[in-house]
Amino acid sequence: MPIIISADEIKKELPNYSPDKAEEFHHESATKADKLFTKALRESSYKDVILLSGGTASGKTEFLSTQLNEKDSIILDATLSTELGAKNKLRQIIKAGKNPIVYSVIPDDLKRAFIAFLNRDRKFSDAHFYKTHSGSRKTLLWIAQNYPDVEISIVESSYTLDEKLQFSQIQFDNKQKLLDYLTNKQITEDGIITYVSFIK
Amino acid sequence: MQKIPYKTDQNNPAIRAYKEAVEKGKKNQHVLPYGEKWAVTNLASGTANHVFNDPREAIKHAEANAAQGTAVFIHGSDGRIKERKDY
Repeated sequence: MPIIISADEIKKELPNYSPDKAEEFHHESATKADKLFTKALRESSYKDVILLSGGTASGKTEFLSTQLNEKDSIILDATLSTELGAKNKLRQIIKAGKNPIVYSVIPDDLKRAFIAFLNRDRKFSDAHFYKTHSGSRKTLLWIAQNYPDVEISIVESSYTLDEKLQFSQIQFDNKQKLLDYLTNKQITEDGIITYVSFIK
Repeated sequence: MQKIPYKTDQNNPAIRAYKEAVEKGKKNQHVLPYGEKWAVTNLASGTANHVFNDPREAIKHAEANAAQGTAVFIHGSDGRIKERKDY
């Protein structure tokens, strides 16, 4: 069974927390998640450490609950939206003698992810959506370019017409094709705003 | 590039919560800039349901037609959300 570290789960245990004020509690829960992550690296015998990556409401937690819930590994359910944050985590994992694996969940349609984001219990400003989706893609490309030995799994989340949330692993013939894919997936915050608010 | 689908349990509580958020969200209305005008849309359809010259008219229309349990999102001219009103 995995050791799962999630800032969103930690929030629920904080005094006076309510989902409609989730953003106010994010800094505190993220700090606690960092401490738990360090502790797990120090105390767990698991060799594999999974870092989840992807913008908010891309389907990471849903992927974790259905596909990674039996892995003997430490799993950090985060967005990996900054290069500095990712660098620190990777450095910690490697220093602990463990094996980092990145699972990135990328929605096939940002508009659908935006709709889910705006209507779930946890409330964040829309800026959080733009920032995490743009930042996580930038960071992922940076990891692929700077940590060639780190295993990266790309997972596409999609929502079917008959209302099913599905996941597919995207496999690449070689590293260059992965880099090309990630380069094509880059999008700025303004690009996301334009995309999600575009109407015919 | 090859896509290998995972088998996903649609009754998993996390999956159900996500789907509920999407389905609920499709019923909300957004007041968005639409060229020089303003549109009321539900986002999911990707089409302007009603178009107004004045954003205040668009907001008034969205509010008047908001169903119980839905929300109206008012966007600024830069596309960012300025206000959310729950009904």
